[in-house]
Amino acid sequence: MNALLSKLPAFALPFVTRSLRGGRGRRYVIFSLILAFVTSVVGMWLTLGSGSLEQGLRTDLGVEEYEYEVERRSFTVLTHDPFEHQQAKSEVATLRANGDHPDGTYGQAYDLFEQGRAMLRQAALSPSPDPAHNQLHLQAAALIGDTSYNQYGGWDDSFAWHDAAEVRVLEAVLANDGIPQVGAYSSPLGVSDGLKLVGLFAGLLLAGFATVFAPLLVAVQQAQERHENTLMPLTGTALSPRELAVGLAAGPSFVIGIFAAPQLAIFLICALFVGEIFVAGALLAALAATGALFIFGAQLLGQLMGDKRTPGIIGIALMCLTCVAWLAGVGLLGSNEDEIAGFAAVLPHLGLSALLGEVFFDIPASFSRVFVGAFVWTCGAVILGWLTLNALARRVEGNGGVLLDRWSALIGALTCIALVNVAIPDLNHSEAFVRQYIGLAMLALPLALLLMARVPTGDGHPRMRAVPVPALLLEFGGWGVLHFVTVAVVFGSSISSLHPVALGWLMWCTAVLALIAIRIVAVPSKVAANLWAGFCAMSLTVGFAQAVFWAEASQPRDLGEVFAMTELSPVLGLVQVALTIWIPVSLVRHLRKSLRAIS
Amino acid sequence: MRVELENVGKTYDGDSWAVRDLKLDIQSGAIFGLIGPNGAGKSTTLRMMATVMTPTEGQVRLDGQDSNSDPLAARRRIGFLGDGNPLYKDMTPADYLRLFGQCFRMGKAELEAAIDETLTTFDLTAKRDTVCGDLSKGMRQRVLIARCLLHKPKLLILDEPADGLDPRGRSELRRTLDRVRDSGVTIVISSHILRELDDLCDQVAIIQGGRLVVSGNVDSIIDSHEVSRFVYELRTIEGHERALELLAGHRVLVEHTGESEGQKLIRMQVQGDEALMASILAELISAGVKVVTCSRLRSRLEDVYDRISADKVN
Repeated sequence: MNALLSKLPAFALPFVTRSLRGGRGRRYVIFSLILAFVTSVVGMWLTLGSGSLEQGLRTDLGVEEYEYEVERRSFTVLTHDPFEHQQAKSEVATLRANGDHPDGTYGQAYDLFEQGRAMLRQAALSPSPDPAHNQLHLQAAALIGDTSYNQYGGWDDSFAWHDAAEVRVLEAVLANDGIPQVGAYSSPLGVSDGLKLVGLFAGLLLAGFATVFAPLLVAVQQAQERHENTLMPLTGTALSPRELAVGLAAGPSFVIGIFAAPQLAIFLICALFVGEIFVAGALLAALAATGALFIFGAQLLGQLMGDKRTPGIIGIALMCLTCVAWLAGVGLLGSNEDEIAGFAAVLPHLGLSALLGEVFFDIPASFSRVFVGAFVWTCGAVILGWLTLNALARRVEGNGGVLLDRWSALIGALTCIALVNVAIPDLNHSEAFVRQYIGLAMLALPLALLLMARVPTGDGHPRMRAVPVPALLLEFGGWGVLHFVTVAVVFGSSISSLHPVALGWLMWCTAVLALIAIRIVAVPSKVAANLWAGFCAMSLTVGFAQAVFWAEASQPRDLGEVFAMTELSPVLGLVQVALTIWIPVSLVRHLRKSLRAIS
Repeated sequence: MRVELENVGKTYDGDSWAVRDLKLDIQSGAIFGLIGPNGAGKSTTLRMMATVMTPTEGQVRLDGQDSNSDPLAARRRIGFLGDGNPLYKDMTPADYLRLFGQCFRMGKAELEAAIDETLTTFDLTAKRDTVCGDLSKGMRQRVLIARCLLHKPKLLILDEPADGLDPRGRSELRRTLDRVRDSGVTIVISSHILRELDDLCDQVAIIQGGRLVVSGNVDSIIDSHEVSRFVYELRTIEGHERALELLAGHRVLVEHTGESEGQKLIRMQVQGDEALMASILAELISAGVKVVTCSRLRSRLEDVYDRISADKVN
């Protein structure tokens, strides 16, 4: 460990040493090796175990067929214990002796026997269009005997001769003379499948370490530094703010790295075994970029919020956020819908899940657009991670001012615009306005965050600070225009999307969103003001809906519909007009009252 | 290390100035006290000296070199204890010193030797492996100052180091600073409690509203403001109680009464000039009080500060 530490860069050494002090390093290594052992054992147990729990988990993971399908396909009753086995054997003996089962008696073998008999009846009554199947047809007719009796009714003459799988099932039934076999259940998977599952678990843990645990630990640590004001003495040392920011992240990340290293080795060995080392490399690259962005982002959050909220609250909030993001990503992957595959460009968890799945199992070809999204996200994450680190370094320096300069923010906005446009699906029925308007809705949060990074801050009282609100509004509006222009140039545009009323509502939404974002950063929060800001934020949905309403107009609209509430009642219409004017005015008044100057 | 501040100014918002036109010249090896009320700009000035804050205007020179031309190199020669004195409570003093030594890019062998030496110097060897949260406040303060001196700086900057310390802790701090001064390190120390600095500093500067009011040697500053203080010490051998009764009828504030070398002693502040004191003295003698001596006391730094800062507190 000491040899490894001596190779660390000077800025990381103090914080890594701190994280490993007092024998912690040795304990972490032991725990990580235990975790690696557990990963391997659990993977192999899940693969080779014959219990109902393992079987259920395997079928849930989609690596094993459901038991009833296997039984039908092999025309064999699968038993899980000696009693069940004996029971099934007894049922089969009855069937062999009587050619049928007692009326009203249920049994696994009887049930399968009935399924086989129904299939034989269908095959016997359905002439095969393919002469190759004539023999099976005749055998089924011979075996079934009296074809006039139909216990169940229904479509007796509808055997699917064109379905090779059904024909194989019929062959299995015929091979056993319509009497099912009995066999003890055992896992259908072998050691090679086990390696896939072990690799999958190791990959999942790696993804969890990079995107959940490392950001969480770094954020909590940073919040703690801020909360207890222990960061200030570090800024007086021989480390630059950037080195300090990276070093502070390196400490907790190194601990996570100790746990991740054995998992990485397992993952790579398994990926090598299945011959998907290239995809595994792509996954690791995407994980590294995503992890770096999340770590620096969480660290910035800890730095900004550390003096307002306790580290525990920040940690819990982040944990919830990352868990929800992972659930959403894995859920979307499970849907396998081509239309949402591009969402990997804005929801990295989807792309990471898909890449991990692709290493050990195949992702449907129809979902392959997810990899384009994952690639674009990886590039975007590198850019956004760099910008976040710059912002973090400025904040750690503690000299106030803006977190991002104008050009950095512009690069961030362009990156977000690119990511969103890759994410939006190409729907046949969609028009340009859908991409323009839905894209703007998706961009609202990231662009608002970028705008927050452009608001000057400092330790002094807000009444001593000047915030150039008009310039910031113009900058924010400019990013929106960039999105509109990008879509128009790349995907085309429609005249209706540029309807003056639609654009008017869009401008209103842009201004209100920007004012709320500026207010959050520049002015101390109070309950009443926060409630009003929340109401203003909700009003954005109404304004945006009206913009879309006017943009998608295939026919000319009535000017009375400029304020949609007038359609419901003239009073409501008046209220809407008043609020439309008052909301931005109130936000500007609040900024003017709370700051020294707003221009 | 010699420290020069040349017309240094700092504004946070481009409009109001936390510090402006500050000119200081701190001689190498001196203990320099920066005095001022809360919000006067002391911390801002010290942070600029420590290069953790860039001046909006002017220059901070360390041994003649602009500190902001290479702040990271400058910090290797500076030990800075900022306001608030934060400490990692779950780290031992040795671990804490190691963290900061590595932040100053000290080599491993050099660092371990410096940790041992510093812990010994600050009488912390016995507490080497005790977590800082379990140390007394005075010991924690020693750890903090030890951290500032670990990398052998030539300039030690301490912002309100006695804040929150009990009298014993202050006494310990004073002894520590005396030791540091003996090693030739220049010390800049700020406080709004003047008694801490009175007999400790060679030079002081008083700042108010971000501007320098006066600076120089402590003695010369006191001498230059001597005229304004009228505190007298009266020694009597008889009639002490009578004297107190008579003084109560005049514009006199009795600060202290006691006994010294068999004589009764009264220290009092006279709300007037020498003529008033002369008339009081005549009255005491005529009333039968046997006065041995009546002497005017020399001003303290605190008195000078009180006079200068009258009606100017931020």
